[in-house]
Amino acid sequence: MSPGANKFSDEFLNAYIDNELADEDRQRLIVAMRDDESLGQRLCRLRTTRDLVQLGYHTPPAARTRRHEPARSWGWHRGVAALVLLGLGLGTGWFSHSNLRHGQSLMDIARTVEVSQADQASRQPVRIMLHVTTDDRFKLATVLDEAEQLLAGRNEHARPVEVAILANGDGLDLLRADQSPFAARIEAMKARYENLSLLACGKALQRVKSRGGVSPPLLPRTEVVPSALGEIINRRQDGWSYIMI
Amino acid sequence: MPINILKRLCANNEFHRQLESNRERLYRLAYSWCADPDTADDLVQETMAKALRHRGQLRELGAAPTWLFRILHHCWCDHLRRLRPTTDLESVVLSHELTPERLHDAASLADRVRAAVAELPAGQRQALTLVDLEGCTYAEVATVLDIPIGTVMSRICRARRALSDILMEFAPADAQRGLRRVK
Repeated sequence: MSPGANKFSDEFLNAYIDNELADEDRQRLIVAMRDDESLGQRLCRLRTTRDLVQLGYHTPPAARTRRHEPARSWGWHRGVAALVLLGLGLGTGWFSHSNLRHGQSLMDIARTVEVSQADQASRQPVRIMLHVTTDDRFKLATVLDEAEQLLAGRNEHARPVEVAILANGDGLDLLRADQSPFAARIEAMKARYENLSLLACGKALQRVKSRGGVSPPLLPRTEVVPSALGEIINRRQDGWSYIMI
Repeated sequence: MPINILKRLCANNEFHRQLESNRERLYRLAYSWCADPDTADDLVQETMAKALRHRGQLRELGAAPTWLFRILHHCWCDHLRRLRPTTDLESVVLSHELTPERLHDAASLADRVRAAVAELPAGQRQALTLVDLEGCTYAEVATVLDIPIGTVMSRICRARRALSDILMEFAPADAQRGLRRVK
């Protein structure tokens, strides 16, 4: 039996070819190999085995079918399945959050977030649509706080930012002159930042009118769009990122 | 305190890029573990879904591959438990049918290799493929599989020993010449 057979274990030699040995140990093995050809043969065998494994999986066979049914025994969550199918394939992402805790940020209270790849071109302005569907005062305050930070340019990226606040459902209260808890603040923001848009859903306004008989008054410079859904689709196609509250 | 939304949006995008860029690696790894393309695909989808749900756990994007491999490992363990609830997961072998005839009949060397890897116990198979296919360090493998580094080393050692016994006759001729050069 050659001297190296007992001196260097198989674990040691495997660690050598996997670059896991300390320099001192590597040197010791290299010196020993000069006088013991069996060590080199053992290493060659291990390297060949490793190379064969890499060869075996260089091009693995593709899946025959792509199954999406949530009923499969994988514990799929329907919203997350949609995340995978829609978000990853298009290079954008959906996140769903449903619980509000006091002191959370916009991203924490957001129900859905969809990031546009178009935002990534460094010279393009960042365009973010904040879709408000709630009349929760805390959430509305958070929306305005973050919108103001964006508009004021207080971000690390130093890129121009455009913000559109779109309101429908209960969120319409934010833009109603007779209901909004933040009317003065929003008017001040609108006067200060020309890159802020206020959008009210026309269908939601129509529903309010049909209940009360009168069209609700809106904050100054609030634009009425035909429908929130149509506006979302159009802006997403134009490269806006989308956050639903 | 409101956070910088732009920073989060950009971080979200980078996270998605990491997920997408690791998809192929995950599939190859999953396939090496389960030896079935459709099961591998399902494992990858489940891994991606869990990664999206728990993205807050990833503190550093550079650690994404190891983090994803760990999730894949858990998905694979869950799959095995469903199939074989009473079996020791680390010892699961995918196939007990590796006969000499089967080896010689395999269409290609790659098929032979995959058949031989499928014969390894799951614990050895996972450790070996994490190192050989994905270039993981022993410490990373220990993190992914939640085992001591010493166990990683012994599994890799046993796996390569078993594979070399099976596959060496199918190794390329120049590699065999090197092994037979004795004086």
